[in-house]
Amino acid sequence: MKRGQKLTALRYIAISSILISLYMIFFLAPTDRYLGIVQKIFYIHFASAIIPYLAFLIVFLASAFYLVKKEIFFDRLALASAEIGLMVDTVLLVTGTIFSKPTWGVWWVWEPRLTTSLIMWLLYFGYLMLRSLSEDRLKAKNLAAVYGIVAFVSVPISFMSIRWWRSVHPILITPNKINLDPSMWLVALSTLAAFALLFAYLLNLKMEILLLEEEIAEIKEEMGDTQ
Amino acid sequence: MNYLLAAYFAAWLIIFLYLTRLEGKVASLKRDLDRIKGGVKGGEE
Repeated sequence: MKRGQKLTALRYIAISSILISLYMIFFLAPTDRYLGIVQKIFYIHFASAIIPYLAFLIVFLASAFYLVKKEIFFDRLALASAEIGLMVDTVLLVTGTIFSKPTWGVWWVWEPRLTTSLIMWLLYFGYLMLRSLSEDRLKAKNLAAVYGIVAFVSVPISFMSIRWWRSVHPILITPNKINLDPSMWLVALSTLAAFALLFAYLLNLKMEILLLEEEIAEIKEEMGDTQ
Repeated sequence: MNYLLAAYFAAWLIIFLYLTRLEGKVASLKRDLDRIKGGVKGGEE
């Protein structure tokens, strides 16, 4: 199977799984007794919370590997993962803001989880700024790799914030149990799986873009040398 | 109900716009690469 065919297959698998998860959210998941239908925002909010953690973990690992091995593949992987992680993190902040109005009565509250999530978003926005604004390409790659490792500190802080500090944000997963009805948990996991497949597709797509850009730049350089 | 619609609309709009941008960029870069390669081959002949 060619690379293009793999990408197309992944595209249709991701779209199908998203359609299945949407069907499960709106037709199979039970309606919450207290929040009513608005609780269904939770499924997309939950999936868009976990994916950036995964994406930024990939940025962290790929940055570390790049610094050790100096292989361009890891730099490409870190950049692609950071951009998609930031996009999904934007979805998290938007859905969270809309969800908090009917549940907490306000659009935004400066409590630990929301504040640390916003800091995480700003840190990875800074990562992309660093990549795009730096003129020295090699220096930018090395600097971004160090930044990608340091910025990862925000991920465990964001995850643990509701456990470490007093927060109005609910704790879904505790060491002893999951605070969610099993039928809702199944739908949440299927939405997460659909988002993971979408993430995999977008990651491959972004990697393809970076690869094509490098290939074009190389050819242009060669053409410049020969002329 | 309005909040639910707003959340899902906003989320899928962000994802859809990003996805469209990436797919469009891949197609455009592939076209550029083909054109450049065609130009290089033409120059060699």
